[in-house]
Amino acid sequence: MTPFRNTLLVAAFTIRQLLWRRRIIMLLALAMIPGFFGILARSFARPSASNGFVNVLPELFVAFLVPIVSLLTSGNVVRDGIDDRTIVYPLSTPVGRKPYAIGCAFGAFVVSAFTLLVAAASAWIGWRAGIARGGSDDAALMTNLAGVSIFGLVVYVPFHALLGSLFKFPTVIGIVVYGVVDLLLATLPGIVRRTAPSAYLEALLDPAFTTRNAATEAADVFVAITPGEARFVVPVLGMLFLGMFAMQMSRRDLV
Amino acid sequence: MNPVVAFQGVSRWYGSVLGLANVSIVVPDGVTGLLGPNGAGKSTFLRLLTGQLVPSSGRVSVFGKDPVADPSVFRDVGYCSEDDALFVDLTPRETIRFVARFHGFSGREATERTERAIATAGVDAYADRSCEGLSKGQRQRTRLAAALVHEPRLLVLDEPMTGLDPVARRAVLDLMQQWASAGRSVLFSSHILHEVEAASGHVVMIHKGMILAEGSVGHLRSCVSDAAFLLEIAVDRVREFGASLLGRPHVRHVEIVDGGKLRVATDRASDLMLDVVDAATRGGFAVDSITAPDDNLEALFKRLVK
Repeated sequence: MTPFRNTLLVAAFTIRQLLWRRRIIMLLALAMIPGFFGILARSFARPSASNGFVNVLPELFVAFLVPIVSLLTSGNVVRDGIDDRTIVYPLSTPVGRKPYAIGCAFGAFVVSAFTLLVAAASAWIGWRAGIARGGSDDAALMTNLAGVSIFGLVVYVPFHALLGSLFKFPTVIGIVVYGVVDLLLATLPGIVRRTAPSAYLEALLDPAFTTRNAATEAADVFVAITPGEARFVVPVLGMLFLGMFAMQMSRRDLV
Repeated sequence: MNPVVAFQGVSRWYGSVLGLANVSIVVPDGVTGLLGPNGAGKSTFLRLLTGQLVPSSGRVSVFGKDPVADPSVFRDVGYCSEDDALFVDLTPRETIRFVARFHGFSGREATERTERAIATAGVDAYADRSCEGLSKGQRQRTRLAAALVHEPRLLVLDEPMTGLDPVARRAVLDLMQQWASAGRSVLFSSHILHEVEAASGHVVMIHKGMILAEGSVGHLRSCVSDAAFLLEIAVDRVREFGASLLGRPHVRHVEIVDGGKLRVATDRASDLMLDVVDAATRGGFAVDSITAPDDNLEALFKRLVK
């Protein structure tokens, strides 16, 4: 068996486990939040380009749904197995620890990406479905939003998986990190924004969205994050966290 | 040829607590029982050899490979943990099949092997029920089936009979012996002496993280032959017979115990037997039975711990 095949096997198993667990109900509930807001916006105002709903979406996705969905899937992707000792089953086989770690992260990525796609679809359906012209202009915006959100998982999934391999309660620690990094640092103008992954994701959003990044740029306090910088930093950080996660899994005691 | 399991100066610390202390041992083919009280270090030993724990110092090898660095060793090793761990979302059949797939078998072969393992471990009756609702014995059999689905050369079982009813215990014992009779090896742990004595030809005694002794029960007994050994003799005219034994060179102590038997402490059991036969012949005593109450692992273990 090749490490690649082992990774895919573990990923398939992880996807099955995540989809079968009760956590998927919570993920789907989160995915419906944009749709719910869309319905509210549609009830109180006619959909139009100037509708404030569009300006809610960047924060809702890159600063809330992406970190939280990723935390719920990948934070516990190995921690559950360590806590209930079921990790012994795959790791008493020739799969290997590093392919196991990478497979778990990949499985969590797929489930998270699926959840975010559903969230983007729910936003579009809730807000624009059934109206004249079908809201086709907004479909492009939603595609951009979904793509950037899924790109964000490249950094959040391995980071949260790493937390799960290091700490007993990764969800609690992940929420604390989320509060400090994505809710606090990313809203500050200047250099500290560069510590927040969600700030890089904003730089990749369609200019039609009003973002915290755009606000920083307008204030001209410090140089804003550019899309090119974001395209470089996000995968590099993701690879770094994935490498740390795989190394941690290959060295630690399993029980 | 590489030994089944070899530990070379292996120690394992849990913070400031020593779990295993500088253990060096080679486990041979066949059935080997790891015997020790709770907390002796049995599970640490088995977890080190299955790569779940990393040794603090020393080297562990299984069929010549490091189980942490080289997962290919698990083609030859099946492990059944003492933890009551199962995927609650899966059925036993699904669990066993997933394990078979992790071992690299194609979908079709994994299905065939799953059915064989289910039949071998006796999981048939509940193979399609959720693992969440299984009894302890059913869960144990499911874990056992998952451990042997790839027909490993070495089956490692951590406390395999804990919590099982007598029938299930017998079934596990039979399975271990069948496995060994097919030319494979079994290494299992237990804190119950008669289980180890009944199942294994080779015994490793472990206490406080140290290997006290290893070998066959007979060999272990001979290792402590210089210690006092007890014989209980049911004989007529018990006082007279006791007096006739006193003064013989290998007899340390004689007393009459409950039931009118004579209990004799000796440092050389085989010579004492000759003395008993000689004394009975000379004095015309009728000896009904001679038993050795401490010729078992429990007594041996107590002696070694002392």
